[in-house]
Amino acid sequence: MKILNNTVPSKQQLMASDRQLATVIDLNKCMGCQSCVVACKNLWTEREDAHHMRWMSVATAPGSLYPRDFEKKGGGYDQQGNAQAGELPSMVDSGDAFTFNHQEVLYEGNAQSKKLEPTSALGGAPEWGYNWEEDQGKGEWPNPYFFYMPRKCNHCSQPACVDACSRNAIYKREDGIVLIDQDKCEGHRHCVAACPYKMIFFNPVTQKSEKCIECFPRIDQKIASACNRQCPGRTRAFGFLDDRNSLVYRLVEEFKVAIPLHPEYGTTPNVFYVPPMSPQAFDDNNELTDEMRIPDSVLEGYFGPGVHKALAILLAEREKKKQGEASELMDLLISRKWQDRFAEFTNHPV
Amino acid sequence: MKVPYIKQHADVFLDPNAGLWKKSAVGRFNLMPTPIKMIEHLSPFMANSTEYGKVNQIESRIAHNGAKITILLSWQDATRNDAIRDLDQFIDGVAVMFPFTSNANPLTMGDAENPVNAWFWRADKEEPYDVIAHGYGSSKRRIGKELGLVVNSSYQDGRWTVVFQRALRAGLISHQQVNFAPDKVTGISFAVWDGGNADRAAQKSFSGGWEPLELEA
Repeated sequence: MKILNNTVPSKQQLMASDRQLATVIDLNKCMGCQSCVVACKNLWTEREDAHHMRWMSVATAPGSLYPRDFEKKGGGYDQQGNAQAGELPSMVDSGDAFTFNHQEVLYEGNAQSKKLEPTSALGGAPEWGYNWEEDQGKGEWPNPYFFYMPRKCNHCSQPACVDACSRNAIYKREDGIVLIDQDKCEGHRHCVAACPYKMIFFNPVTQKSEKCIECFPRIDQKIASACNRQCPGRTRAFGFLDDRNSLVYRLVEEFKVAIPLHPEYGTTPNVFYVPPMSPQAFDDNNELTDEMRIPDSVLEGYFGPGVHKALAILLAEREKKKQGEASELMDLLISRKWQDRFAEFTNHPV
Repeated sequence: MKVPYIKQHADVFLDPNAGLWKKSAVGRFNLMPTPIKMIEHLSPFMANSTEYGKVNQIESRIAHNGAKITILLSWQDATRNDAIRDLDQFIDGVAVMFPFTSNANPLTMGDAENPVNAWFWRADKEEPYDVIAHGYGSSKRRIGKELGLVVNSSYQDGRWTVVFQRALRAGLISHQQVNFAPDKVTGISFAVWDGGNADRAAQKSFSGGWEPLELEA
């Protein structure tokens, strides 16, 4: 019998990429409008079998975030690089996919007597859902606080999902985008458990796992990914991390004010956040103090100890502006022209 | 295992309660969790699993009628997992595997030079898969129906019963399917997935080595 030569690629081969695309999100400007979420959903997950998936999400921090309690579901690596066990988010954890009694209320003459009510994809009343805790945040009056946490696949440089897939169905493109080959995926979900950010979603109909594809068909046409391009708050920068002219390079490598979420997960993520400079806190006499309203420990919990240095740089540069001095960093963050944010990816979608 | 020749129409074999099965001896095989650390290079995350592969025995009856071979399998499983209703659920399944060469290692699902062929049934699918593998992680599922493989399954009193049937001689050589012939000895091994225990991929119970399979003339 003729034997086919089916070589199994190594994990190193699957994880290798020549360059790395990266996204920077300025949390000082994100207003939680969900435009990025809608842009993504309209393009990629507005499907009957994918309503529970939000490849792009914005949740309120602190909180259980999205998927619910992903920070407690394991995955990633310890400091020695050992793979860590992880759990699978349920349909409810994934934000559910409510249906509503639109027909009954709006089209059958019941508008005055019946209320619109959601039903869980699992049946019955919802237990939890996407943005269930919107704007709750933490802290007591007069110092409540919250900020928005936009999240998508980090297209990690050490992607646990690639490592986890026993089918070798997940790989990095040469530009660093991590993709799941839908022809090879058998839906075993080791990638979902392994991703410490829980940014891989299982499709129970196709029985394959799906994730953010960084809008690669747009990238191939030099069009920025939809979430980045659609942000009306001008929070986003996008480009190659080694492109010294790109805003991502300048914010991450040069000014060092954009830092990854949970760097301790050990996957070297490539979505970077400009951490929030919170408002000043009030004291017991309702007088403003020099204290930040968001506790340092909270920010360090998300972004690691590197957050303090990044915040110090941001605050110093903002102070310069306040004093009427020039600050190139503040000008970059203001970002008056959208073309300045997306490096070579400034073509229009057609 | 001796595989008796029983002169009956092939369709009769598909009924697990058919009288003819009394003529075939029951083979009882102990199952164990796969040695998952062995394939750590394919998934260090999967290799961390510990609670998989709890189904510890499978019963098998095998017979042929000169044209087709039928394999009747049954095993205990307290939970019937035949649909994915939530994102963290998995499906019950069973597979039998055969070597193409005497050197094929069942632990690794063969290797590049020594492939294996398997018949794989999942509780959520009407049709079985015919699987070809050249080593673990290389397996390819083909639609069993297109390759002459049929299945009949039922669940009763905490027990799955699954019947596989296929022609002794497969169709095209290019399809890479094992062939069976009277008086020829080959091997068989068994694997069971308990969806209720999140078994999937290499997280399964298996019988270890090849059980000899000898078709009587």
